[in-house]
Order: sequence, then structure tokens, then C-alpha cells
Amino acid sequence: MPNTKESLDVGQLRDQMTAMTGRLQTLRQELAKVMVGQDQVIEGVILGLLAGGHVLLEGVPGLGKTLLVRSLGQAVRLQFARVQFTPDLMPSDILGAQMLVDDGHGGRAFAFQQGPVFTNLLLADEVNRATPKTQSALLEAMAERSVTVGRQTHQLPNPFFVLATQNPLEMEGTYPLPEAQLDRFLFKLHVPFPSDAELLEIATRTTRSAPEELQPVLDASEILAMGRLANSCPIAPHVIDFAVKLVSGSHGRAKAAKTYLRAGASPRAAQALVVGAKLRALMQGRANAAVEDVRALAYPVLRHRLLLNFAAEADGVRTDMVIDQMLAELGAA
Amino acid sequence: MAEVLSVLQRSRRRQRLQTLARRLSQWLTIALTLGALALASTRLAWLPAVTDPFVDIGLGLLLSVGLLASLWLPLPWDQAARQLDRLAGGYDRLATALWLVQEEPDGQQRDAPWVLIQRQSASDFARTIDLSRLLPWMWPRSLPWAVVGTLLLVAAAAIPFDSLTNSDANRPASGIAVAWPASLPALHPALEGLPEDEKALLQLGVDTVRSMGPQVDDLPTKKWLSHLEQVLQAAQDGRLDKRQALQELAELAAQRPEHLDLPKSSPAAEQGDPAQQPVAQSEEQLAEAQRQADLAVREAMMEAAEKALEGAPKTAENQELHKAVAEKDLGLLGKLAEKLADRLAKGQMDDKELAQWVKRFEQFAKHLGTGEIPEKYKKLAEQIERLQDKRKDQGGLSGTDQERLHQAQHELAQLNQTHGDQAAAAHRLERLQSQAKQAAEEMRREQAQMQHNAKGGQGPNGQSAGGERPGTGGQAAKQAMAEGIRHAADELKRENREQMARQAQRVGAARAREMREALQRAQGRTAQGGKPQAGQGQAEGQQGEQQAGQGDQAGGESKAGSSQSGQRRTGREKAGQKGQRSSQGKPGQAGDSEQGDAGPDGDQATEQAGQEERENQQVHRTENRRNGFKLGGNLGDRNRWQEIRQASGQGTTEGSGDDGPAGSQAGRGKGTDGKGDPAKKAAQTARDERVHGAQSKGPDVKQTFSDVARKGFAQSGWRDVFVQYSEVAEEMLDKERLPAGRRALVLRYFEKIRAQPGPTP
Repeated sequence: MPNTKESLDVGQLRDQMTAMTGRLQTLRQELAKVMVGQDQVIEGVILGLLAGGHVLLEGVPGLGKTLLVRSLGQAVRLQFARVQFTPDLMPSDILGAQMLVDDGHGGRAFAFQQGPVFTNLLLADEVNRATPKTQSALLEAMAERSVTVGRQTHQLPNPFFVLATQNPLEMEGTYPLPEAQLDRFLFKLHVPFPSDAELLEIATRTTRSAPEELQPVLDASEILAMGRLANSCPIAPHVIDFAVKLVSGSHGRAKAAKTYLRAGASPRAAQALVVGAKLRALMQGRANAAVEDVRALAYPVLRHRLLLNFAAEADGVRTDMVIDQMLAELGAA
Repeated sequence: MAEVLSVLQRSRRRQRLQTLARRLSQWLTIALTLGALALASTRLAWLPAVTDPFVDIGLGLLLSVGLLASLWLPLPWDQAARQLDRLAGGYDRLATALWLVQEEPDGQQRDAPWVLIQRQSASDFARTIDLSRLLPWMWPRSLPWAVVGTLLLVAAAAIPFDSLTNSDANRPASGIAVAWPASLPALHPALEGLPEDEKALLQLGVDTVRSMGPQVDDLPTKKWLSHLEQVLQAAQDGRLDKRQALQELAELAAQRPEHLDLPKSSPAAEQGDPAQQPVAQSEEQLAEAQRQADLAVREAMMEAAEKALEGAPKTAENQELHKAVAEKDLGLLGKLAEKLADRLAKGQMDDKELAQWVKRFEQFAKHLGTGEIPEKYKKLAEQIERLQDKRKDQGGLSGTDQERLHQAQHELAQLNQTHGDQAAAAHRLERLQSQAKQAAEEMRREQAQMQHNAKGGQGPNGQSAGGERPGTGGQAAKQAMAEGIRHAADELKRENREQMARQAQRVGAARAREMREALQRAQGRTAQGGKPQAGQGQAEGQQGEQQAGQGDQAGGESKAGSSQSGQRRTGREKAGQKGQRSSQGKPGQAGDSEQGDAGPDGDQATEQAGQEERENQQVHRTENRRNGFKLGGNLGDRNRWQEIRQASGQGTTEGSGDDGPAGSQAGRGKGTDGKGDPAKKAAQTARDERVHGAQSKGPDVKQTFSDVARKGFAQSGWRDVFVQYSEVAEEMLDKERLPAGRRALVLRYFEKIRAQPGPTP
């Protein structure tokens, strides 16, 4: 895929768009070989990957969260690492540590041994089971894409994509992620329970003798190029305005937010909405982002950034309901 | 981009046309329906005919405004583009393309690849748009209603006006309790369009002016009546048409003199609240009391005159006197007395006749001014005055005295209610008796002097005159006697004049009330027709104020003395409680206004005092109209008498005695309750109650803490059960899969209610 920094004519750009749409469609088809259903989740994960953000997957055990991430690693030809988060996991277990090693001349020297975070695709399984100390060690890596050990800062490979999972039910002995860390995730995706038909397909497909082999369809450079292409796409002001109103509405300007929210979304949410809208448009073969894209991305972008207040807890209101009301309010305006 | 702009232009045109049709249809529906209703109401005489032109004007205005509002259809291009995108599923292709036409995106030229691609995409999309499918022509939903409105208007216009207006069968009942004259004089043709009740209203105004005019003596009322007469005359002469006449009458009604106003019934009275009935009927009761007092005075005077004239010779003069007595004509009696004085002054009366008249005057004075009820009044008033003085001096009253005071006040109030204003009548009789006695004594003294002069030749007058002829002193004495008789005659005439004036005022007030009701009805119909009148708003404003004032008063009275533990207490109530406290458990004193002023709750007491002052002013105005209310030395000055009457509770009818019942009710409470420990009382009245919340599945433990209020919460009993409760909760937290937020909520709750270490009681 050619670099968009070079000057392109209309034909080249159109070709790039077509190619991007086709490759992404192929990626989805590859992932669909092992994942039954979960189209929204797959789309969200791909969008997060292209946007250079991180994705938090939440769902009950057995829904294929880990399988999805592992399959994605195979399909995009990226370096993949998995860390199972436990309460005794230490930051150095993720980031790496200075080790005393033989320097090859009969002496000893400290050398930095990279941890599993030095990869393209990191699966942080059950991220909320680690202690806050370990969780916060991941903060710098996610936000700055670098790791500082001692006095040395080590850059993480590009792209760096964290896919974290957590179980909403088993909260005993867990450490809920703090708001600051949640804000680092571009999307929070709910992995729903499959329908009966999907369940039948899962039961059929996963009990055969040999599982499907996934073919890599994308590499790191293509992913980065797609991200750049999306960033260069102009977006109409009314679409940005809608995204901004959505975020500012979560700070009490919307009626639902005033009633049920303790804190609203950060500016990162507006950025995520705009970038995600562009990528979603390109993924669907459109040259322009639309308000519909922002609406569709409002749930994964906002649901982990809105803090419910006591009234919402008491009324059994979830963040998705608040987002529903905010969208309805803005749509009517 | 031509395709995009073209499709947007066509879309805007279609949308504007659609919106225009919808708005026009809505406006037409509203205007035609309202017009039909107004027209039909006018034709059926539900609205006064004066509003007829306003129906046309209002309908025209409504249609014009609707047309203008419908034509004003701003539909910006970008809004039209977004609407079309939404309808056609264009994902903002058209809106984005329009933006790219209007502006340059950041960092990109108009011919940048992205811009060209997006515009091309929009053009391709615009070609696929079929506007007739996306924006099909839709008839407005309100169109059938507009048709119905048109039909209604046509039907209303078809109603014949003249035949129905004057038909009693089709005219709704007036609902006004006015006894209309059986036959009305012919009015000017300009007023023929008026309904029967409005014609009767004019006739009523004429009657009122004729009946009140000669008897009214205060200037404002005279001016008001004069103005009213002018309006009525102009209306009858046709110089004012019916609309102008009603307008003038409405303004006059708003400016009517105060004493012609009647009390508005309070909402409580209308709802049948017995406690408020006296307030609502106070003016009528006062008028009735006045009438009874006037009647009593007149009867007493005529009775005295009849006794004085017993055995009088059958002269022409005496015949006239008998006739005046028989007809109970005080005015004629006064004129005859004046004529008598003239005869005496002119020396046309011999000594024998003079002696007879002196004797009759003495008889008249003797038989005037007695009665049992005034004596009872005096005794009660003296008793109340004495007990109140005692209370002031001693700072309180014993239980027996307090009961006596209360009893006396109660009796006085009952007397006032059952026998009218007998005290005022007694005072007036006393004054008349005093004048008659004075005249009789003077006549007797002058007669004795004349006889002495006739025998001795010189009298005091003769001495002062020095050297006058005998008989000159007798003439001077006769002049003095005539002067005395004239005084008595003046008193009679004054009494007669005052009684007539009061009667005229009573009649006038009743007429004014009838007029006001009729006017309000006429104005109400005018207002329904969309024609506001200045006088109407003013009159209603006054009514509203008075009703609000009565409402406040009613609220204060209902609270008075009824609540000992309420949070909001009026000054009046606290005055009563103060009395209760100062009596230390003995029955309290009546909480009069003085106690309220001096009480610790200054603001409320001051406010109450202000209210009482206003009420008193109202009473004073009323009282000033009845002359002769001043009591003699036996009853003290007027203020004192009024104070006694206020305390007696009669003031409920005159708006001045609210404090009496309030204080007495508070005072009759048990003294020990007022000094009790609030905490103890709360503990005695506290009830343990089990409240039920939303219950989920699973076991639960409930326990009612019976000693919470007395022993406190964080004590040993609570510590014991807390452990048990928290264990149950933790067990449930372990078993149930709760979201982290809920789990934290439960933990925080138990942390907050954790029993704190403290001394065990």
C-alpha cells in the first residue's frame, strides 16, 4: 500500500481506499473462521488496531475473548504476547528487568531483559486481577508507548496494541481499573452471549478434528498506512460538532447526564469518536465520515468514560442507557 | 456538484411547500374553529353583542398572522442536505459535499484528491435520489379539521341573530339573583340590543340614584351618584351606545365609594366552613344591628312622646303631634317642636300653655332612655373592665376570675349577636334623654324665674339689664326656653336624618351589590368575546385583594390556639401560650392584642398588630357612620368600649376580636402539659415502626429496635446485632455475584453503620 504522504491523484487515492476496504473485509472473513458472530466486537477490535488505540473487552468467561485476540495476532502477522494477570504479578513481570548477565569477556554486566510488553499485540487477560501497582505499570506503556526501567527508556514496537479482558461477574479479589487507566482504552467492547444459532455453529465448528488455520492478511506497515490514510480524510464540521456535543453533553449539559452521571467523558473521547468515525467510514467504503458513524461508536467510546452516580446505581441505570438518552436528546436537537 | 445542488434545491422546494401546507392547515383549523365558536356565541347571545365586530377583527388577525407565519419558512441549505441524507441513507455525503463547496477543508485545496473523491461520491449519490419517493406529497393531517372548522363557521353565520337574541327560550339563564322590575320603561332604540338583564341593570341604576340622591350627604358619594346619573341619562337619551354605556358603568363600579361596597364572601365561607361564616356575614349583620338599633331608638322616642302627649287637649297643633307619633315620623316631630319654639319665642304662648308644655317635656324626658338590655350591657362591660384592670394590676387572674371574665365576654358577644347593637341605641337614647331633660329643666327654671319676676318685679335678667320694664325679663326667659326646645328639635331632626341616611346607605349598598353582580356578568360575557375592559380588570383586582386578605385572616384564626407543638405559630397563638406559661399551669388568660404585641415573638406580633389595626380602621369607618356610639361615663371612652367588645369575641363579625377566642382556647389547656419535658413527651408519643424495603431472594433477618429513641443507636445492643447483621451481609456477598460497584456500596453502607466504641448505658 503506497504512502499517503506522497502526493496522490484521485485515482491512486481511490485505489487505496478500495484496497483498504478489501483487505479489511478479508481480515474480517479470516477472523470469522474461528469466531462465530460477534461482528460488532470484531469491528471494534479492528478499528482499535487501526486507530492505534487499546481495547478493553468485557464479557463472561468462554465467549472467545482470548481466542479473538489470539486469532487477530495470527491474521495480522504481528508479534503476539499474552500475560495472564494475577494478584501476585509484579510490574517487572510485564515490563522487564535489569539482569546480571555475562558480558562475553568473563565479566558481569546489567542488561535489560524485555518483558512481554515488548510486542505488537499484547493480550492482558483478566487485567483487573492484578494489583493497582502492576496495572499502573501498564499505564506508561499504553499511553507513551515506551517503558522506563531504571534510567533508561525503551520504546515499544510500532504498532503497539493492548487488548485487555475482564470478567464482569467474578469481582471477588479483583482491583477495578481506575478511571485514569480506563481512559487509556480507546474502546470498551461488551462481548455478548451468542444467539442460539451462533451457539449451534460454535458447538459444531469447535468440535471438529482440526481447527481452521488462519492466513495472515495484514502486516504492521499496512496497518500503519491505513491509519495514516484515515487521518488524512477530511471530515465535515457538523460531524465533529456532533461528537463534541456528545462529549460536552456528558458533563451535565444533557439532561440524562445531569441526572445520572458523576463525571463525564474526557477530551480523549472526542478524539476517539472522530478518528473512529473516519476509520469506520473507510472500512465501509465511504470517503466521508458521517454522524451515523459517531452514533455507532458512542457506546464503545463512552461507556467506560462515564461515571455513574448514586442515583443511577439505585435506579439500576447502566451507562449504555445514559448514552441512549444522550443520543436521543442530541438527535432531537 | 451540479447534481448535488440541483437535488438539494428541489428538496428544499418540496419541503417548504409541504411545511407551508401543514402550517396553513393548522392555522386555518384554529382560526376557523375559534371564529365559528365566537360567532355562534354571539348569535346565541352567550356573548354580549358588543363583541360582534371583534369577532371579525380577531378572525382576520388570526388568519393574517397564520398566513405570515406560514410563509416565513427558513430552511437552510445545510439543514436540507442533512435531512435528505437521513432520508436517503446518504451517510452525510450531501452535507459533506455542500461543506466542501462552501469552504476549504483544513490543509487541503478544493481540488485535493479527498475533496474530489468526496464530491464525486456525493454527486453519484445525488443521481440515485428519487425525490418523489423520498419526499412524497402528503396532505396535511389537520386538513379534515380545517374543513370541519369551515363548515362550523358557515353554520354559525347562518344562525339568525335577531330572532334568537330576544328569545327567552334560547337565551341561557342569567344566574343573577336580582329581582328585576316587572315592567321596564321603554329605553332608547340604541339600547334595544341589550339583553333583559342589562336593561334591568340600567333601570336599577336609575332607581338607585333616585332613592339615594336626596339622602346622601358625603361629597364623594354625591359625586359618584351624579356621574352615575349622567351616564344613565346619556344611555337613555341615546348619547351613549350600549357598549359605551357598559364601559362607563364598569368604570363607575370600579370607582364606587367604599361604603357602597359589600363584603366578598371568603372561599372558606363559600365552602361552608362554620368558623368563617361570621366573617363573611359581618357587614350584613352590622347592617341588621343598625336597623334594629334605629328601630329601638325610634320606638322608644315615640313611646315617650305618646306618654307625654297623654291627656293633651284636641288642638290642631296637638293633632299634628299625635299624627307624627302615630306615623313614627321623627322629622315631623322635630319640625313641630321647632314650630313650638318659634311660637314661644314670638310670645304667642301664654303662661298656662307654657306650663303644660314644660310638663310634657318633663314627661318626655322621664320616659325616654330606659331599658333592661342596656343595663345588662353596662353591667357586663363594667365587669369586663374591672377584671381586665385587675389582670393588668396583678399580672394575671385567678382561675375563678378568669372564668368570670370569659363568661362575661361570652355573654356580651351573645347579646350583640341576638339583640343587635343595643348599646349604641342606648347611648343615643341617653343623649336624647339628656337633651330633653336639659330642655325641660331649663324651661322649668325659666318658668320659675318668670313667676318670680312677675311677683317681685326683678329677676336676674332684669338686674343685668338694669332698669328694664317688668315683662322684658319674661320675654328673655321665653327666648331661652325656645332655644332649649330648638336644641331638642334639632336633636330629633338630626336623629331622623341620620337614620334616613343609614337606611339609604343600606339600600344603596344592596343596590350596589346587585349592580356589581349584573356588571360582572355583563363584563364576563364581554371578556369571553375577546374584548377586555379596563374597569373589569380593576374591579377584579380589588376583589382579589380583599379575598386574599380574608384568606390570611381566616388562616390565622384557624391556627389560633389550636396547636401547641406546631412549627409555625402565629403571634396570636403565641400570645395565648404566653398567658398559659405565665399562669403556671392555671387556666390561661385571653390572649388579647396587648399581649400579642408584648410577646417575645416580635415580628409576628407586630404583623398581627398591623392586621388588627387595619381591621380596627375598618371598624372605625363603619362605626363613624353610626353617630352616637360614644358611651357615657359608665362605660368609659369609646376605645375602651371597643376594646371590651374586641375581647368579647364579637369582633369576629367586625374583624377586630380574633384574639379573644384564640387566647381563651390556649388558656383552657392544662398547665402541666405546657411545662413538660419535650423529650419525655416525644418518648411518650414515639412509636416503633417496621419499614419494609425491596427484598431480593435469599434469607433475611429483621429486628425492630424498641429502645432506639431512648437509649441511642450506637450502644451495646446495636453492637451485638451489628456483628450478626454484617456476617449475614458478608455471607451474601460471598455467595452472590454482584458487580463491584454494588459490592462496594454494601461494604460502604456497613462501614458507615458500624457501631462505634462507647460507654454502655
